Amino acid sequence: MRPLTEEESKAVFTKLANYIGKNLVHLIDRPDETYCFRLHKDRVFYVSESSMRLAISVARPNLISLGTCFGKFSKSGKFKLHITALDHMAQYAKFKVWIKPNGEMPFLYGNHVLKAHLGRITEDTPEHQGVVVYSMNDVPLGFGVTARATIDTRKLDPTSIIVFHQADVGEYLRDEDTLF
Amino acid sequence: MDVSSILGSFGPTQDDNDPEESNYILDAGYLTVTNTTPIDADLYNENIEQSIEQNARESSQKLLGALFHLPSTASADGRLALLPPPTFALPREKPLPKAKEMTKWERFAAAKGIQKKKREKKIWDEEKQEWVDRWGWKGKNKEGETQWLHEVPSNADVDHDPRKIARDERKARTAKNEKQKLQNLSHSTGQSSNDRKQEIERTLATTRVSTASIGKFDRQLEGEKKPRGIKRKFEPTEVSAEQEKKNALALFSSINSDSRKKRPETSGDNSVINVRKAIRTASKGQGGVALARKLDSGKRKSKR
Amino acid sequence: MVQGDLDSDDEPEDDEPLRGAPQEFDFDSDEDDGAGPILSTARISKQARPATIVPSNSDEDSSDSDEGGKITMANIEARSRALDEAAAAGAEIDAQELRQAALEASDDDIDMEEEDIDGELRLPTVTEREEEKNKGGPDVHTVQQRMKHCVRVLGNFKKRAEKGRLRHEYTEQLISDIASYYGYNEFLAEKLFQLFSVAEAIEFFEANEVPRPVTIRTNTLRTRRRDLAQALINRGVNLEPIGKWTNVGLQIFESSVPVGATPEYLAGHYMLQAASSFLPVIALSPQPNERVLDMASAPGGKATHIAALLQNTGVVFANDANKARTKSLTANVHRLGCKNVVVCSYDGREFPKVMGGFDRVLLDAPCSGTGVISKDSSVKVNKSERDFTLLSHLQKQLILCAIDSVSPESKTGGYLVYSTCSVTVDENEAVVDYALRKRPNVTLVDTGLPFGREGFTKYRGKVFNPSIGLTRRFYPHAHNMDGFFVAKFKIGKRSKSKTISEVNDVQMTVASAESGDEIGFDPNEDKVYIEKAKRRQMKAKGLRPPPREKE
Repeated sequence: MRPLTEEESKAVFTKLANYIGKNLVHLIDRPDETYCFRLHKDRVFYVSESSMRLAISVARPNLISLGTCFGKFSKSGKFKLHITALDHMAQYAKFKVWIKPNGEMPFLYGNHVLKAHLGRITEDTPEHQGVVVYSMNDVPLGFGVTARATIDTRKLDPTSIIVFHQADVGEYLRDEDTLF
Repeated sequence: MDVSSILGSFGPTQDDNDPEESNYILDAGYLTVTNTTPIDADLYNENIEQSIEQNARESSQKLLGALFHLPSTASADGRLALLPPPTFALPREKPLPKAKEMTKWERFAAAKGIQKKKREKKIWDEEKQEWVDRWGWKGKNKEGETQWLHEVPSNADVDHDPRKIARDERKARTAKNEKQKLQNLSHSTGQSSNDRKQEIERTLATTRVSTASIGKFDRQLEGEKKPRGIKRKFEPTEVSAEQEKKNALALFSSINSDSRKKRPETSGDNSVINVRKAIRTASKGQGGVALARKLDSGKRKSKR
Repeated sequence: MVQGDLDSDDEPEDDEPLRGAPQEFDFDSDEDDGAGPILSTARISKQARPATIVPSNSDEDSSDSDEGGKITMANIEARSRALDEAAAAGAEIDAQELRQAALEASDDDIDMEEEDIDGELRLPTVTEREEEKNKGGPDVHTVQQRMKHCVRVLGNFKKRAEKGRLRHEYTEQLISDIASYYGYNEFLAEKLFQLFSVAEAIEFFEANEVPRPVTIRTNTLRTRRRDLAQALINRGVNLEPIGKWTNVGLQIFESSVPVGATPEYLAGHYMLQAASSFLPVIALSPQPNERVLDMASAPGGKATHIAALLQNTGVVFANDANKARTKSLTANVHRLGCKNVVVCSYDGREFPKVMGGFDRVLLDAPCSGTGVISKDSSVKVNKSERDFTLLSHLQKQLILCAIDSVSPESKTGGYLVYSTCSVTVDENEAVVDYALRKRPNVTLVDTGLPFGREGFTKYRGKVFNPSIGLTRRFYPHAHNMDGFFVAKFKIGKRSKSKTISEVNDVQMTVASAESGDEIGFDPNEDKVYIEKAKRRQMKAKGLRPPPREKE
C-alpha cells in the first residue's frame, strides 16, 4: 500500500473527472473525514485516513482490500474504473441516464443501452461523455459513455445504442474472480 | 703518474699459471667481473669482513688490469679506454610481447593456404600509356567517376547518375573495409558486442540527465525506453493527509485548466468560421494579442 | 412484468427450494407471542416435553389444570392441601420423572392404535443384527417402524420394555437405525443423539432433512426494509419479516425471479443470509465508531451486517484465513457499500500479533457444521472423531487469540462473541469453558437474544462453569433456523490474582531458607530469573503481573 505518484493520480483524476467533473473536489476535500487514495497491488483504494492508518499494520501479502476499490492500473499504466466506484460516482454524477424497467436486465447482463430502454437523460449531455446509469427508481446500476448527444438521440431509431456499456453491477456476479 | 710498470710487475705474468685465474669472468663492456670460485666456508666464517674485502680487491685488480690492456685514446683528463661491446647477456625486464591476433581474413587465408602477395601501388594505364597510382589522388579506382564520357543504359531512370553510382560503390567499399578493420581491432582487444551495447546505454543514460534540469523537462522521444535500474521513490504511506490533500487539489486544478485549454466549450456555437484557426493563421501562430498589437502599431504608422 | 420474461428459462430450478417453505410457515403468522420464529412443530414438541425447555409458567399451569380440573371455592382447600403435600414430596421428584409423566400422558392417546403393530415388533438380538447387516441392511419400512417402537419404549422403559432387555440395547438399536435411515455414520448419529431426549432427537434428525427457509438481510446502508420489501414484491417475490427479534430480516416464501440476481440484489440492497447468522451480530451489537474484528468472515454476511450497524463509521477488520474465499468477501463488502471494511487474510491464530485493541471481536469459528446438515449433507458421513478433536483444538486456540485481541480498556465495548454453526458440546460449551478457565479476566454475559435454549452447564459427566447457562443454543427443529451456538464474553481488565502472589511468598521463604547453606548456589542470583519466568507465565495466562520491585 502506498500513495499514488503524480502520474497515477493524474490518470485516476482524469478518469473520474470524465464522470463527475469538478465534483471530484468533494471526493478529495471531504467535510466529514479526510479520505485518501492508496495503491495496493495495482488497485486504487479510496479510504478514510483512520482506516488507512490501521490497515498499515496488515502485511502486504495479507491485505486484500480496504475502503472502496476504485479500479486498477493495467500493466501499461492505464487506469480502469471498476464498478465498485459506482457509489461515489453516482453521488456526484454530472450527467445521468435512467433506464426503463425492461432495460434493466439487459444492461445488467453487460449490454449497451438502447434507445428503446432509455427512460430519461440529462439535458445537454454531449457526445462521448461519461454518464452514470440509473434505474427508474434511482438505483444506480452502472456507468458508460454516451454514443450521441442528447439532441441527436431524438432522430435515432429505437434499436440504436445511446450509451456504451462500461461497467454494471452485474459484474459483482459475473466477474467476481477478476474484479478483486 | 705511470703505474703501468708497477702493475705489470705482478700482472698477468704472475697469474698465468694461477688455477684461480680461469675462475674470473671479465666483461669489460659492462665493467663487470665475476668470481666463480666456490667460497671456502671456514675461511669465510672466520672473518667475514676480511674475506669479502680480499675477494673484492682481487676481483677489482683483475678488472682494472684488463682495462689497461684495452686500446685507448688520449684526452685532456688523461687516457680513456675504449670499452668493447658487452658480452654478458642481461635478462629481459619486460615479458615478451604477445603475438598479434590474426584478423579474420588472415585466419581464413592461413586455413586455405593463400599466400600474401605484395600489391604494387602503381598500375599500368593502357590509355595514358604510363604508370598511375592504384588509389589516392588521380587514382585508377576513381576512373569511373572522372572519365569524361559515361555509358548510360537505355532503360535508365531520368535521374540516373553513373558518376554518383560509381562513387557510392567506392565509398561503400571503403566503409566496409573500415568496419572490418574496427571489428578486427575490437576483437583483438577482447571487447564483446554486449559490452559495447552496455557502454552505449550507459552513455545514453548519462546524456539524458546531463541537462540543467537533470533531464526533467526534456521531451521524451518516441519509442524511447524508460531508463532502467533507476529505483522509483514513493511518498511514505503515513504521510500527513492534509499535505496529500493539498497536492491532490493542486494536481486536480492543473488538470482542469489543461482540459479547458485543449477543448474550449464550443457547444451551441455553430458558426461556419473557426475563429481560433483564423486568428492563428492571421497572426502566424503568435496569438490574438500579438495580432492586435501589430494592427495597432500599423495604424499609428499610417497616421504619421 | 417484462422482468419475468427475461428470466423465464431458469425459473423452475431456481424456485424449487423456495416453494417448499410456505406450507410450514403460515402457522407462524398469527401467533406472535414469545420467540418469533418458533414453528408449529416446535410448539408441539414444547407441549410434549415441558421439562426440557425453559420452565415457563404456562406449562406449569396447564399441567396443574390437567390434574385437578377447575379451581372452585369448594375444592380450593383440598387443592391447597394437595399442593402442600406435593411440595413436601417435590424434593424427591426430579425433572426426569416429570418429563416421563408428561410423555406418558401425551403418548398414550397417540399410540393406542399402534399397539398391535408394536406387539409384533421385538428388538433384534446382537446376532440378528449382524445377520441383518450381512444381508445388506433391513428395508426402510421396517427400520422406520422399529425406530418408532424404540422411541416409544424408551419413553417409558419400565412399562413397555421387553422382559430381559436392557435400556442400552434399545438405544444402540435406535442409533444404528437412525444412522441407516438418515444416512449418518454411526459415530455422528450417536454424538447428535446424545444431545437430546429420545423423542427430540428424532425431531432433530427429521428437521435436518428439510431445507430451511430462504432469508435475506436488508442492507440498511442502502435502503430500508419496507422499501426493499415493496421493491421485491413488485418483482413477484412473496415475503414476510422473519420475526420480531430482527428489524432487517425478511423471509422469502416464493419468488418468480432468482432472488440472488435481482437488480436490487446486485445494487446491494440485501444479502442472502441464513437467519441464524444474524444472531452473533445481534449479540455483538457493535456501536458506531468502534473498531471491530470478524475473525472468520467469508463470505461476509456478518462482516457487512456489522458495518451496517456501525453506519460506516469506525472500522471493521474482516479476516479470513482462506485467500480464495476473500474474493467473494470483498465482492460482498463492495456490493453492499461498506466503506469502513479492511479485508485481510491471516490465520486467525496470528491475530493479537497482527493487531489488537479491538472494541469488539466476532469469532464465528470454523466448525463441523452439524447445525447446517440440511444445507450440506456431506457432513453426515465425512466427520470422524478425529475431526472433532482437531476442530475443538483449533477453536480453543482461536478463542484465546480472539480474547487477547480485545482491548479491555475499551470504553464502549470489550466484548467477544463466539459462535459456531454446530450443535455438539465439545465445539461449544467445552470451548467456552476452556476459555473461561484459561483467561480469568473474562466473564460470560447475557447474549441479548430473546430466544434460544440455554447452553449445557453439565453434559455426560462433565461439569462446566455455571455461567455457561448464559450462552444460547438454537436448533433446526425448535427455532426453524440452522443449528447454532452463541456465547458473549466481556473481557475485563487483567487483575492481580491473590493465589499467584501467595505462591510468590512461599517461594521467597524457601529461597531465604536456602541462602544459609555453604554450597556455591546463590539463590539471589536465581531470583531474577525465577521472577522473570513467573511474570512471563502470568502474562501468558492473561493475568497482569505485579509491578517490578525497584532495587
